[in-house]
Amino acid sequence: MPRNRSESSRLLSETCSSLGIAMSVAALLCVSLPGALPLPLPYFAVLACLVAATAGYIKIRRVRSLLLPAIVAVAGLLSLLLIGLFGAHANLATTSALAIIAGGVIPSVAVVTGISRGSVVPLAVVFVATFTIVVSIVVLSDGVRQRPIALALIGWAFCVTLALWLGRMAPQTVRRINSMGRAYHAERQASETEARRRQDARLLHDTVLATLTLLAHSGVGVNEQALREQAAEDAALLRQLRMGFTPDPSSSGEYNLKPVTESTLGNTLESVKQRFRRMGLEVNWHGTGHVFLPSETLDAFLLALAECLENVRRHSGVDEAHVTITDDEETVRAMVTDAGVGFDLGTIEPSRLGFAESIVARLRDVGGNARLFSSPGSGTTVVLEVPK
Amino acid sequence: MTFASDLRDEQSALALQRLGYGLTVSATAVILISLVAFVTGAQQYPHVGLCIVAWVLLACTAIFVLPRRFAFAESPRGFLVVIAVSAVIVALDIVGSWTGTTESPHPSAATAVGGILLACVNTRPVRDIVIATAVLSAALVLTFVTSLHGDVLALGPRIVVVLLAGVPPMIGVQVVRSFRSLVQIESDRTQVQATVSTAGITVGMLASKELARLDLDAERLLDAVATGQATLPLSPKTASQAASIATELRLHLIAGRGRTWLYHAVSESAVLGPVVTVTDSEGLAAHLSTDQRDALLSAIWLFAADLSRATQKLRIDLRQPMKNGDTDRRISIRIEASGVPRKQVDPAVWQAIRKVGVHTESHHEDVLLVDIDCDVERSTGAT
Repeated sequence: MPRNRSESSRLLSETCSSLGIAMSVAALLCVSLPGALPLPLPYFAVLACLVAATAGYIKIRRVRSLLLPAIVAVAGLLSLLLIGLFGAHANLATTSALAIIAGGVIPSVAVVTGISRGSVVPLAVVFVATFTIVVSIVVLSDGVRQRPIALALIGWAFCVTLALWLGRMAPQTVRRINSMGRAYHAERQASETEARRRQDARLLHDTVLATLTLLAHSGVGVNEQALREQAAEDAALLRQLRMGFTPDPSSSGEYNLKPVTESTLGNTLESVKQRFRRMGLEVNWHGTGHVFLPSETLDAFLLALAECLENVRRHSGVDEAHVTITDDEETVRAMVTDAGVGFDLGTIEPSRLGFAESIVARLRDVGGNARLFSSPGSGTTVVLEVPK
Repeated sequence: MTFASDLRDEQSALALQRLGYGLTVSATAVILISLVAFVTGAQQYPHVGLCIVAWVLLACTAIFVLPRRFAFAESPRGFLVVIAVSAVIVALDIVGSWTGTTESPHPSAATAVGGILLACVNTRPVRDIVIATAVLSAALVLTFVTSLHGDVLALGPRIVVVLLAGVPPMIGVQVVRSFRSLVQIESDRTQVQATVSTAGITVGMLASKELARLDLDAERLLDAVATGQATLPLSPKTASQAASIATELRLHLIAGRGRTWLYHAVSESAVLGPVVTVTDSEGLAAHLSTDQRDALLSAIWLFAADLSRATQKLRIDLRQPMKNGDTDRRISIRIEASGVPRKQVDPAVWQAIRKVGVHTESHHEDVLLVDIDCDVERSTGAT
């Protein structure tokens, strides 16, 4: 991704700005001490330079331009020069101001450059100019001790080292972080595969959701022991899923969720039967149990079947249902029949039974269909069809 | 599963460690410079014994703090010890150099305490260092002001001393803060960037985490029922918990399949998330080519991250153009940026937008509208 103002240059400019502001304000304080500089012209000229430098350092934080460092450096040099010219009667305050400007206000500007290649020459010029002015002031005026030279040297050394260090380390860190893009990509894919794996464990979630729905009604109306057993089984399946396995409980006659291309119907029907028995509905199987179906079709078929049986359990008023499975060359058919109260197809919306969404939609997804027959007092029959 | 996040944590820890080395070196330099100042002017100190004691204490503290080998030095309690000893050093040094006149030599060990604080910058919260530095500077200022006797100009050199003591730790705080935000923003950017090369429509990073969490909640609840921990019939509280897990699980099993890379890029980012809103009901973003995605994301990033203002909001709208013609191969994208003055838009934004498609821009008060008309290859774009 292209960027104009990089994070590493932001680090440099923020540091430069903080350092520069602290130094400029300190220098302002020094020259503003009563009696430090003669009033009004010398004082206000120096003041103007230092205010300009402060403003420049405030601006540097946000605005990236080559002009700002130049303005700040010139303002700093100018204030040095003015102090040298007007502070003929050197005092402690102006001497300190000299040290702060030469060793703080001016070299702080080096930090924003990060001592990049293009900035070496201009910085060297500023360095030479600074020391020319400071040394001449020290030599020419009697009262000034040599302290400002030492402090200016220390200040320059500190700023240049800081700039070199940050200027190298920050881009290096950014490069290291950016080189992790590949790892993020891998993580993203792994995460998506994981999400898909969990989403695809639809049968598992179906039984978990059925149990959770029972629990949401406090588990009322279901045999307590049966509910506990069901919860234990579902928890075990979820645990397996969490461990990274795709639960394969075929040995105990449970769901077969292995991502195989084909699996038999028979061993999964048994589990549906067990589940409904725990909830108080006896399911009787008739017909073939050895039908091979692609796993997606099998999932949809079983979900629709379970949904039909759930309707029987809830609405029919009887505790027995019959499921007849037949197949021919192209289709597998299941007929779910109960001898319950039935209902008038004209008066009850099929959507109220979740028929349209959960049963028809699921089957249509895999190219199948469902039909509903019922009348009051003579039970209900649902025919489910899926292609082989 | 999240080895990249581990890697990220490790990277930022390493980066902070490298930063720590630099801080140690600068702290050592600050202490050595103060020591040189003390040794060269030792004969001026009225009670040089006290100053020497202060320096011995300082040396002990430095040995404790600088090598970064003692975990205790980085603990809150260790830092309290460091602060307490530093207070003693500053007090001894101020008393040792106190003459009550403007001729007093500068308390050198007190400025060296600034170096000690600098060394602690990346292991302690910013607030701790700022408070300690402020107290140190205030103590020095107070000492200097009370010994002026009307000679205001003598404050000049004292200001230099306060700068020497206070500026290094404050700059250290600034560097560490900027550096942390650099690491965070760059990691975020790299992570967001990774969405560009994924499939157009995906489930996103958060989907699997959420699903895993819900599965785990369900597992725990079922386990509690199975083991009899939760008595049947369930309490209303547990029952409603079961209901909410079931509802969320249903939503997560059907949702999440139809989100575009752009949605994930924005929602997973700590930088973009709070300021950017994407409206793309038809999932059109999926049809953009990798280059277009990269450029669009750059533009969004530059808008949202570079200026990072509180008032800023960015709305991205993707829709089919209304015009006749081969609408199948065109998408119009509208970027609505509020709180961005036209002049302050980074030139790189336009550069990036040009790579997405042909754009027109308009400006109403402080809302910037950018309409991009882009060509897409429907057949291959969605892969």
